[in-house]
Amino acid sequence: MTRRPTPRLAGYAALVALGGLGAVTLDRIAVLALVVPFAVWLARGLATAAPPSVELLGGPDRDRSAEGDELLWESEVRVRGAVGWLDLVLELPPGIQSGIAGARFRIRPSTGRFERVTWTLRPIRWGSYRLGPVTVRTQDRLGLVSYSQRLGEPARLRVYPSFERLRKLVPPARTQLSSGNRISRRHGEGLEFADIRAFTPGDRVRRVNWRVTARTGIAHVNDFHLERNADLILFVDSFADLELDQDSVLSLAVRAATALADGYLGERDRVGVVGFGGVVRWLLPGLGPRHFQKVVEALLDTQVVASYAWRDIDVLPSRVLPPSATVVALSPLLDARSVGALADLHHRGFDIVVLAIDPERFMATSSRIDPLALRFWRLLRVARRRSLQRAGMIVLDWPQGVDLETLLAQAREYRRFARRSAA
Amino acid sequence: MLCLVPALAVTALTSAREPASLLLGIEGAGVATLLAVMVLARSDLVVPAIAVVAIPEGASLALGGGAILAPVLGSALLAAAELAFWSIDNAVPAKESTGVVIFRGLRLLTVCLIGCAGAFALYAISATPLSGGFDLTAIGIVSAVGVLVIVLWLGRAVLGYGAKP
Repeated sequence: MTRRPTPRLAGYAALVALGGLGAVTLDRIAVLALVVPFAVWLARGLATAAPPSVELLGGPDRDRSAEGDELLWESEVRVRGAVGWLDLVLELPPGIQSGIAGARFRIRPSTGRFERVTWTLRPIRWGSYRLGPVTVRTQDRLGLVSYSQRLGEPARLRVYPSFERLRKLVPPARTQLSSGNRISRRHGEGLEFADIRAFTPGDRVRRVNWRVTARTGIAHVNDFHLERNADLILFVDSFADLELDQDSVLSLAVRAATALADGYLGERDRVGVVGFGGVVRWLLPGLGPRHFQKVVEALLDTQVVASYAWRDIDVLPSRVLPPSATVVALSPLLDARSVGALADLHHRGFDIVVLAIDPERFMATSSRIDPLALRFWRLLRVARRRSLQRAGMIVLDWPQGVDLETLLAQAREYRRFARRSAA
Repeated sequence: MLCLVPALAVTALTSAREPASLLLGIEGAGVATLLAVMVLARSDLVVPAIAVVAIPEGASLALGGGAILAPVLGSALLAAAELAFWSIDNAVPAKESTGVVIFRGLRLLTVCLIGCAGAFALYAISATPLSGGFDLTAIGIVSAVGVLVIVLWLGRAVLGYGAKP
């Protein structure tokens, strides 16, 4: 337990010393008599001061939570020794808020008895956190010596991002070979009518279109679209981040990625993750509810790690990027490396949709930035966006006040328009 | 500003013919400082404010007036300081428990009484008709060294200075 003198100890000691010096200098015992009560307070306080023994048990009621949910940290504390009060401060990272100011409890413990203390916590940002330990502070009864000690082990808490449920998604340009809910361009067994063609040996009789056959005199059959799934890769750019009021570019990107993963996995598509930044992380594409948990866990570890090393997609294993996959990139387009990687992916034949998060929504209005520098920065971003658009990618700006659903609707329109233009 | 107080007190002692008004002014400033400290809830400035009040009192005692009241005055200063700490410190709100109020009040009263008794004992010792000499000087030096050793020992024991981590 760390011990420190309080201002009272230092002040009283100085007063006593001043009194003694004054008495000697002025040759007046009365000056010394004036400070004798302070000397008695010091003597009694120092003679009786002893560090208390504090025992602390407890921790959070769960190790996983969602943004905005409440969780409890319950502790039981027992003190042996003479203390007037006890301060208990739970150390919290910036993304976790406490119900009480400073996460500080002040109790008057009875010696030898367990006292229960409960903190109500609210995670306001997704992430992987370490909560605690609890710092205990107290003073001796005469307020001369303060004691502090950190007790308990830090607890891990994983906070999952909150996300909006998407009703309609951007249909992938190409499908895979496994069955799924997406209507493939290829014909075969399925439910969606595609075309009528002449009968060929091997066609099922139940697929014969009798009306056309009767009209033409030649056997015709109905053709159907195959129902297949698609592969979606969520490309989260973590090279740079801007933060404002506990929200940031990366926070928004991770929430959007979670919503997209939830939507596409619900459509029986395979979803993989690539966290592209100072540290490159990936998750192989998979499907199902369990894979959603894996995706979220992978996204929680996304963070900005400063690095000046040039990175390209060659560092990714080939299984992370299956052929004909659709890549949905969430990027503020602030770093040339992520723009280069997207261009590289496009050249390799991947279908790319870029959701370009506007970083200016996370800039404080009071921030003093040189207007010329800001203008140059904006131009650089516009140039990067246009270079991607010219290459043929769908690039959509994500300004403030627009939700992901609206943005995806724009992407669908863009794709439909592009197909019509191509036709 | 606090450094000016002893200088003014010394000036009042040495040069002024009527130092009472100056000392009263300093003491008034000390009381105002104490009030300001309490309003601002700065517990670290309580003792300096008390010192501003105490220094003119000490100067007044040095001038020779009311030496017999010095222990009572010292106890009153300690009580003022402790009550100021108490009013600032919200660790144990006074309104919360009558028991705590009584306990702290009794503890303060006890220390004040012991302080008074100690000061009067000091007066009694100083009033003994003993003249100086080698023996008394030696006893004084040994006592001073003993007090210093006790203070250092308490500092080491209580604050852990010099102790192995």
